[in-house]
Amino acid sequence: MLTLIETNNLCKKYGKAVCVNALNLRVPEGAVYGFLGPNGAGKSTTLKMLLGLTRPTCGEIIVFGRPVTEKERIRLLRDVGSLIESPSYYGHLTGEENLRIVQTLRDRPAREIGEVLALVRLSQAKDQQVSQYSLGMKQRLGLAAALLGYPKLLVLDEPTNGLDPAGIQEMRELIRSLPARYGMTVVVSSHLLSEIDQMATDVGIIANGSLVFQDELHRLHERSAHHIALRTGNNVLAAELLGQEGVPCRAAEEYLILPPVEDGTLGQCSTLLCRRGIPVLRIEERQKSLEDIFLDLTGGTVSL
Amino acid sequence: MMTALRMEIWKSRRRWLWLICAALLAVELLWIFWAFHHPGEQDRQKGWLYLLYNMPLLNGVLFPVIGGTLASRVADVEHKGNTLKLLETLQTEARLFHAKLLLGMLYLLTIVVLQIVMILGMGVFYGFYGRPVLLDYVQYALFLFTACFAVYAFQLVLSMTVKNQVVPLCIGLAGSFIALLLMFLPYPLPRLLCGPYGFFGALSLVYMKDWNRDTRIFQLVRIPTPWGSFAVLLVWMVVIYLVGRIVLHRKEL
Repeated sequence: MLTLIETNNLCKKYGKAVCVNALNLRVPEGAVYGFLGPNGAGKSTTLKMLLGLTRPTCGEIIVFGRPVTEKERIRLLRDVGSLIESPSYYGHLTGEENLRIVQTLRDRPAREIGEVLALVRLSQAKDQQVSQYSLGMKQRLGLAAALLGYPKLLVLDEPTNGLDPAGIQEMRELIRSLPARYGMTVVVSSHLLSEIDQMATDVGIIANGSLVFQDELHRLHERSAHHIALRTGNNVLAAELLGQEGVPCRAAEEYLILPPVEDGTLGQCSTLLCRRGIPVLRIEERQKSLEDIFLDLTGGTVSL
Repeated sequence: MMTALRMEIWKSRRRWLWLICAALLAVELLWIFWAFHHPGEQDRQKGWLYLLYNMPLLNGVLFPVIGGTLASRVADVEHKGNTLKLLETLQTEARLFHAKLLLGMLYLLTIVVLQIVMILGMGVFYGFYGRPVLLDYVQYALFLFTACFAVYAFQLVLSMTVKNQVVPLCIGLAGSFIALLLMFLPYPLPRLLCGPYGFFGALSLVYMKDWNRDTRIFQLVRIPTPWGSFAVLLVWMVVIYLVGRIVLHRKEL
């Protein structure tokens, strides 16, 4: 599969503070790439560097197989739609007038304005001045501007900000449908794992400016393996006995962690421990949630 | 480039930019009415030169504020709606800067033409003696337009760079005081060095002499065209343009 965005050792420093550190992104064509990270991890800075709005301190960015240089930037960005941080708009103009600017600068047919307005459900409010729009409507107008020209690549930075739950779901479904409907590749950043989990096919996790995970989303799910947690009256002796029976286990706090064994095996273990006078206090089936994995990967010191 | 300019004109809808220009012309018109409310023989005789002497003074005081306001209105639309991060994915920052300069140029050209029409109209209305010297008024228009454009370009760079528009507007206001003060200085050098503000006076084509405090009689003399000062102004414009390009290019969003 073709890689649409590739960065090699991408860095951004502000003075001595390292904002993005040796980032090697790989965004495959046709993917919805979830760019996930806690607040301040460097997501927006990375996306701005991809669009040439911020200059990298070092490293290389390759989009559509071509390096993004000062000279090539605008030509490459003809096929890229973007919505970075808060939506961009002219409050004194109507929604349609706002889109007319993007349509003209992109040199696209005027009919596309109506199409993208319908896509984001803003047709009714197209003649209203944007200063009177709610935050959610402004966000949808920003998405409409990004969609104008049906670009090959869509870069969306926290696109669900300011939307109500219904709007979030609608936006999510729209983003998910874009690769199939228009052949787009979407890079969507968020600090909410659940959001990325519901719409991405691929995921990159950034923490403190470094990429800590990058792969297809199901690979992240694979990390959430089941295990059995067992608490006894004497964990040390119990671990020794279970080991002799061929059930490997390791101690974790007040529990013994066992692999996901069959019910029958677990029953035998329990009986064995009781016979040897070791009381079984608690047996739990555990699964690592995506949140746990995310927190493990990002150091767990930041809020989601 | 024309597309970018068309978009700037489009963006200026409902921004009432023409009102700023109209305000400048209205104040100047009121001043002419006040200055000539009872025109005497001397006023009619010297009318054409008198206007050529006074209008640069008036422009020097008013224009830094008007130019600052115009530039601020043109630049502020981008700050208010965070549109630079969208626009700079569609066009280079240089193209945007050029389009905004051209938009200002259109408004300034309109101001200059209307001011000349206003002056000529008032001269006819008050029955000034003789005919205006066409070449003088052509040179006046050229100098006024260039000085206005230099101030506008300087203010535009400030307004594009600084988000808080109070800063460039205060600088414009200070420029207006600077322009006024510099006109009282007998030496031309400070006028040429204090940014683009001092050129309204420095490019005046008429000089007042032999002013009598008691009789209030004075002489107005057409001085040689100050091409040297004009050349310095052109250098200032190049400097402002280059600094603007560099500053806007380096600016990260």
